[in-house]
Amino acid sequence: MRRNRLIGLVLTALIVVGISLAGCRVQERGPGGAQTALEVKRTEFMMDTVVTITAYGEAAPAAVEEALAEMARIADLMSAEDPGSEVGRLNAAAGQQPVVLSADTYELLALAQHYAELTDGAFDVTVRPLVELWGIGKKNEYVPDKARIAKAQALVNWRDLVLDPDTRTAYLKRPGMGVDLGGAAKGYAADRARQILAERGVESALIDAGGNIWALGRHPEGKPWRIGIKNPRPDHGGSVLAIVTSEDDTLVTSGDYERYFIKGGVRYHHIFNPRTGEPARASMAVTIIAKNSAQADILSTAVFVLGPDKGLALVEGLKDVGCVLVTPNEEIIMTPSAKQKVEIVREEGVASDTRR
Amino acid sequence: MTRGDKVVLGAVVVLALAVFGYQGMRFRLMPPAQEAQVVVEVKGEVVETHPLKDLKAGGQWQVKGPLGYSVYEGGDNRVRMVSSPCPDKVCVKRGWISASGEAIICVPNQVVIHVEGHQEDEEGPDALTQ
Amino acid sequence: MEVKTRKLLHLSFLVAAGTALHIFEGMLPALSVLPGAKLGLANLVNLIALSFYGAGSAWWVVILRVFLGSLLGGTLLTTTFFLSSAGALGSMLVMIISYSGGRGPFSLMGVSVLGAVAHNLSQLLMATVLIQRLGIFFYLPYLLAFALPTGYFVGLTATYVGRYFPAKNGEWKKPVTKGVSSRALNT
Repeated sequence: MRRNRLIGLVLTALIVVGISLAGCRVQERGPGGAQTALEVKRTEFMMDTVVTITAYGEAAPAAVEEALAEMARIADLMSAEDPGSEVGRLNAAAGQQPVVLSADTYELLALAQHYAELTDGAFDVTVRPLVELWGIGKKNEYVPDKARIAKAQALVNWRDLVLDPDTRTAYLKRPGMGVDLGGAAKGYAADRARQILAERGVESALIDAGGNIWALGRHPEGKPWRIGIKNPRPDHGGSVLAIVTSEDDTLVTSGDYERYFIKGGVRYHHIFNPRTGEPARASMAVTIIAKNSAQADILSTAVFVLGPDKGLALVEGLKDVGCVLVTPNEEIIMTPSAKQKVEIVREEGVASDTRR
Repeated sequence: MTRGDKVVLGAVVVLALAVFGYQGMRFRLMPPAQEAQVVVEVKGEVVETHPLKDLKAGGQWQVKGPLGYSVYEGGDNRVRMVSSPCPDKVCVKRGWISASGEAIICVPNQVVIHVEGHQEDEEGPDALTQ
Repeated sequence: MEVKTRKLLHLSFLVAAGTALHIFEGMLPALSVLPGAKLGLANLVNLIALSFYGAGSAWWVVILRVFLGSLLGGTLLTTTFFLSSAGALGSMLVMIISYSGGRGPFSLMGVSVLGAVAHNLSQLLMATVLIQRLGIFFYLPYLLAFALPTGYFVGLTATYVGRYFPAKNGEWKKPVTKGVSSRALNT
């Protein structure tokens, strides 16, 4: 009798432990979506856009302040518009002398050069002359004539940006050249912010650097994050293209809808093909899902320029990187690793002849 | 039903009405958290919020930023920037937004208009990459 | 069967039924207009335990039910768990006091409504502690309005159930069922 009771007790204990282990991933919400975690949300203008950090937990308030301050520091270093920034000084010294850089700027330029080589110049950090010429998103945006494009394009060549790791200097070989980290700095700043939040003990946070997302950890309720990908043509199928189920991922999108103007029925946007000197035409939008936001930022631009075939081939060769690409015909193409995380939510019935 | 029961029922009704009335005076402006809200921020500070459905077509609202007044309008459960004192008009070109997490951002005038949804809405994403 | 064994058996049945009702309620789609509103079905077994076996047994039933229900529902030690514990315990406390062994001024319906109200109040208090925001009390009047009919019908059900349970040879405590005429119960 006593033995039976003992066996019963042990069995019950086993069942209890088993069930609680099986059940512990399932969490529900209380009334009003009640959350136990403290939420901190801060927004700041920097890097020509808006940065919002939403972080959860006791460590959040101090960590968010520190992360934003770090992002502002990175922004000040890397602004191409500000002649006093490191990038500004580097551009001003083009054709004259090498410029000593901070570890941050140097590291990011080195990463940019790595991908320039890997993509054979589809991503080119010396794209500044084209950005300045077209002035897209600025007051003076216009379609320049062929001669001016050719002249600016001749000044774009990543091979003429020389980095020296020993002296930590960068040198632009020809006058008139310029570096533009617009396609990488937001990602780098988000990486720094993520690192600071994680080091300060934040386990759950969303960093939104102008549409570059770092989804740190999991949702405070223990489930994965759900990150939407913006539909590049919201008139066709709603404003959200797809939902990415994400755990500790960064998502960066480059799209022709971010900064653009339309002239003569043609859309001129801010992502240039260094080969043609004009806005790249091979894609409509590219989202990279990765574990490093600077890399994702660079890759989203590179894949956008390369287009579906070469672009996806490039991404598939990289570890921990997935890609969702929208072609100019509004078809959606994904890498196999992305397919596991991405659910298309665009309402179908999309017209295919909607090039703009 | 005993007399005690009737007293209980009456008391609960009275209590509910009393709290309701108190809230009616005190929190008249605080809507239930479920509705999609249009949040307008200037320099990172929230200056206005409206339930999205309350922005009726035909109406226009303005908000003052460092450069001047940004004007927005609603209708059909969406909102867009109509005019802005900024040089680039990126915010006006952004067009309509309606989904939770979408935002119209005017950097020069430091105005952000975004839609915050539905705390209970399982459909809406936590963030939007764009 | 021994009286003691029978009591144990019945209480176990009540815990099991309560657990099932607890989980069943958790599976019902939440009212999006009124988060936290519940039918309070699990309160049925609390009422039965209270009216037949008294406060001590009722405490056991409610504690075991919340624990098992949360365990099987996968909500143990989550926000939901704390909310339902607060609700269930607060509600039981008020019901025990108002029932006072059947000598109180209320029928099971009144006790049940009071329990439902206490359930809502303690949940809102717990939620306020958890999220540190008073805004939740916005829902109070609506929850109270909801608690009236649900509490009443749960109490009525408990009364009927009590009537149909066999009460023989003093093995059951005779439940006190005020307020419902025996005629109504016989039909």
